[in-house]
Amino acid sequence: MTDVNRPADPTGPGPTDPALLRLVDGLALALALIAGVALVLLAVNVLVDVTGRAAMNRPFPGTLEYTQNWWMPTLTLMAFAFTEWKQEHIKVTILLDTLPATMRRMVEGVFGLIATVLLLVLAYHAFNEAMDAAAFGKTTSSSPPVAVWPTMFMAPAGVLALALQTAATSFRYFSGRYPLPDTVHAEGEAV
Amino acid sequence: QEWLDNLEPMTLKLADFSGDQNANFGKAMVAWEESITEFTDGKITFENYWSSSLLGALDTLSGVGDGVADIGLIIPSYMPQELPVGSWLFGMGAALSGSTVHDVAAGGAAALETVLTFEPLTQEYASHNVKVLQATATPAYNLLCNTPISTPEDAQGKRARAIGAVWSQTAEALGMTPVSIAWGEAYEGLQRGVFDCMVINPNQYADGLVLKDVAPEYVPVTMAQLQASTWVMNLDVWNDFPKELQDFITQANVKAAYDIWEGYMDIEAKAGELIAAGDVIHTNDVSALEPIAKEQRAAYVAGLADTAPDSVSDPQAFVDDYQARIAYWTEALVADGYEVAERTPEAIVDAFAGLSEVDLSNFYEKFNSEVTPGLMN
Amino acid sequence: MSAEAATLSRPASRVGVVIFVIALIVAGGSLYLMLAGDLPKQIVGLLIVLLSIVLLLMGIPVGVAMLGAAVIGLYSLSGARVVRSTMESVAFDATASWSLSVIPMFILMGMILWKSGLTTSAFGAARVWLGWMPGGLAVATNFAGAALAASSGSTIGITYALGRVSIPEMLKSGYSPQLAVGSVAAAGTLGQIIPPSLLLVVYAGAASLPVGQQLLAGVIPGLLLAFAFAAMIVVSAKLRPGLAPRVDMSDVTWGMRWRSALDVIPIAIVITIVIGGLFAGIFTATEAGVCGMFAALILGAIHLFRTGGGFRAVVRMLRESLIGTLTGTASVFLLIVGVAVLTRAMALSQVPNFIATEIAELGLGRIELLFILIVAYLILGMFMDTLAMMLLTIPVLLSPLISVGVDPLWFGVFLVVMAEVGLLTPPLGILTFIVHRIASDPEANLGKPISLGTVFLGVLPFALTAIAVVILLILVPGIVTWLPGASTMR
Ligand code: NA
Ligand code: NA
Repeated sequence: MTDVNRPADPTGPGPTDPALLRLVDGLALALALIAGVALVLLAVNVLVDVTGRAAMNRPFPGTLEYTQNWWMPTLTLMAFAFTEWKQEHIKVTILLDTLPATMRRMVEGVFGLIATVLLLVLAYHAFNEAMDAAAFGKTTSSSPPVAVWPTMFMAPAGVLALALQTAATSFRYFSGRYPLPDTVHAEGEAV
Repeated sequence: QEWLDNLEPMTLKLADFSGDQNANFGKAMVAWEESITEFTDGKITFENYWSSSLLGALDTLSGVGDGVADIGLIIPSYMPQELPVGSWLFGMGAALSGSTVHDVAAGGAAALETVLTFEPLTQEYASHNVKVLQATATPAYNLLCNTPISTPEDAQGKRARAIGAVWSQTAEALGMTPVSIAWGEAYEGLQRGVFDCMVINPNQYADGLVLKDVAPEYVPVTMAQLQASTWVMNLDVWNDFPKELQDFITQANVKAAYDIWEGYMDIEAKAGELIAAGDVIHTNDVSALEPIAKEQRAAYVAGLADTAPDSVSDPQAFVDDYQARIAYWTEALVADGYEVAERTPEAIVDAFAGLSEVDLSNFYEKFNSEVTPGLMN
Repeated sequence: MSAEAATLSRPASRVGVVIFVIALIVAGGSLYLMLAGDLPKQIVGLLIVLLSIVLLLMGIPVGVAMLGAAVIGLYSLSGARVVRSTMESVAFDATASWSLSVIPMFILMGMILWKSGLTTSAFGAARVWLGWMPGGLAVATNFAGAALAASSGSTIGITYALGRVSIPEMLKSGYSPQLAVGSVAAAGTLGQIIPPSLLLVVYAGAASLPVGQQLLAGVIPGLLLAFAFAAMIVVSAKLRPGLAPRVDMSDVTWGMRWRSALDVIPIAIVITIVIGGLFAGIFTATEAGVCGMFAALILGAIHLFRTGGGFRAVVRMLRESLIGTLTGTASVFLLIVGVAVLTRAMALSQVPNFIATEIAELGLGRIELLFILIVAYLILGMFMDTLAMMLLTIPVLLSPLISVGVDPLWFGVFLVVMAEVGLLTPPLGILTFIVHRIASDPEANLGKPISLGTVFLGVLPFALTAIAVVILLILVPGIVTWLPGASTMR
């Protein structure tokens, strides 16, 4: 899995990263594996439903509900942190690209922390909602009902992991690990 | 008029996930708003958010409770755990006749008085910080199909879009295979034969999805009505109102329900014209299917007491009483000259043809004099 | 790389610092006014937009920037309880969607087609067949988008599937980044105009129109738009050959052409399965994404075996495709979460209704009214979710429009085209962000980063073309209403 293990950190793997940082990155990777499983299950679930319905008149009951309430939240939310680690979230650097390197590091570091706070608040509220839903065992209204409350915890978990990862991004800026060489290159090499 | 002088001017937000100001609910609620604005000399005004533009079907309950909007539409069965009593009551939608006037007015009146007075239900809504304004019931649901179906053999193995236990169990009893298809994909699914039938009200021939071209086979087998489409208001907002205003709104709520009943007559009459004309839509003879559905629905209602939530203390008594109220209001309609129609193709077409002439004002007067006074503070 | 692109994205550092300081002042001012002042709702709405623009310039994920600005706005408009209620549910609700499941599936389909090498050989064929045509590869991309639009209503899914594949291929052939990204984004916008289209279905529901006729109404304008985009590509490539260098066709023989045509067969099969299965009633538009993905997987694996890659190559292709799909999907859905909160804040600010009401009360004639609406929807589309923008304005505008003689079926098509153009327009053109995200992958841009400014410049001519088509529709409304009208006569 060379691609996954490729550190987003240009100064090399492991040794130079504090243990906490490696833990946060490990969490992102672990959740991404769960997201990958959900992605595969989505595809298989719908395929079984379509072929069952078209070929044998036996649709897979609950496909719509599983897709909507299980596979989609899991595959998206669980991949939030991993995507930040790989620096593949949608970001606009058009203004940052024009700033001097030191200033850019400070700005990205500080706003990364603002994002962290915001995401922590979001995770907190999502957690409360998931706890409420778990308390009364929230399901869909379909027949047969599909439990919704378990995957509602994907929201706080995924957003919390993303918050930790944006904090890690800030750390990488403050400690000079970011911006990566190729983005520095982008700054010099006009495009 | 002291209460009016002390009333703070305010703008209330209404969220209707189901349609806009030209739909049946929308028209009735706009008239309701206008009456309140007039009664308060313009101190209370409204902002409307139609067609899920602020809150959707699933987040209206918490949205109104938290004040994202002040007024909203709830289909209780969408939230089986948040509204256990409301969802359970939804099963009473299976206790219907199939005759539009009676299901809308008598079934609607039974639903309305229940949601306003049945304490386990009003408390359930209060626990979500909302106050029930009014509720109405739809006409019966039927099957709109892209292939003719009039016998159990025809029905066997046909795919029917049926969402929720009340309908999918009837479809299964008929030998059909219930499928889940998203609402937004239903039109094209019927058009291309992804599925064969949709469990829905025949007003969708003329309104909403306008299915007349893709599902011209009308199979009027009687399936449960949507028992209580419930309008609610944020409880804090309601509690802050002076008694005079609360009483006026209570009266206006019942009027809104009546407007919705009349509105259903108009919508069904439009669909009925298409059905009666018979050139686009073919009405199937369901005399072989209807007894199967009827038996299944009766069994469903008979089993309801066993599935009641704990907060309903004597569920069988409640079910019996509810059915007695439907019978009571049905008799009132019969006394007004509206007999329950049979389910033969001719009788169905005749019943549709008569809908535009239906006048429920006597019925409304009766409801108003017997029930409304008890709702006031 | 064109000279103007180079100068555009290389401003002096000092200018950047000055803009940065101004942005901070704007952000601080907006924040202060929203938290302290008792402002009219519409002003709060404008401040929310300002704040989200400033925040997204600071390098945090765009979705988080929108979330931040919207949360402050919601607090200002409706108080802490509404903020809490929104934050409790938005992350789960925005991702828990059946219809949006087509996005990961289309991304995965595009990744598999790309990583298995199928699209590289197909583009080889496109080079020898269309090399004579100015901008031939961009034209091919455009019509591939139209074909995918006939199977799906997902603008984002189509853009992703196409962009992953065709941006690197066009760059390899020496196309300018602007044309490469612009043609991809434009091809994506066809998604909701050519049926199937969830937007047209929702519009028909909101405007009480027959769904079938509304979908038919989209067919001719959608095709017209596809041909207009193609014509725009050909003309601009002809006028400025630097945009898309012509392939040297001198040593291309008919034998090469026919041999290369075989390379297109797998992709043609995938598209045939997707469109054929949809029209045969085997699956719905959302399910088409899954079926197309499996078709791509089987054909991609066969291709890898035939080209000697073996089992390990298939596993590697699958692993890379899954990873790319996860990060692509997550990046899109973090954006969708932010847009959901921003849309609620904008709805409560009443800005859309306000604009629509003001316009409706001007008492204009048909042509004037529609021209003003083009401008209004361009502005609203800059900072609002497409669907909500439609739903908030339809109830206000529909009856004034009908009273000046606008056919509601026609207006649905107008609205959807304008909504799709709105996905391209700065400052918050979310499709532009997504295309930029695709083009930011070193594997897609061949190691030469493409700036957001380049993407906006690239989509601009296509947005203008779409507006020109809308103007044509205003002048000749029959283009829209003819097909649904013809269908009801039978
Ligand atoms: Na489409
Ligand atoms: Na935009």
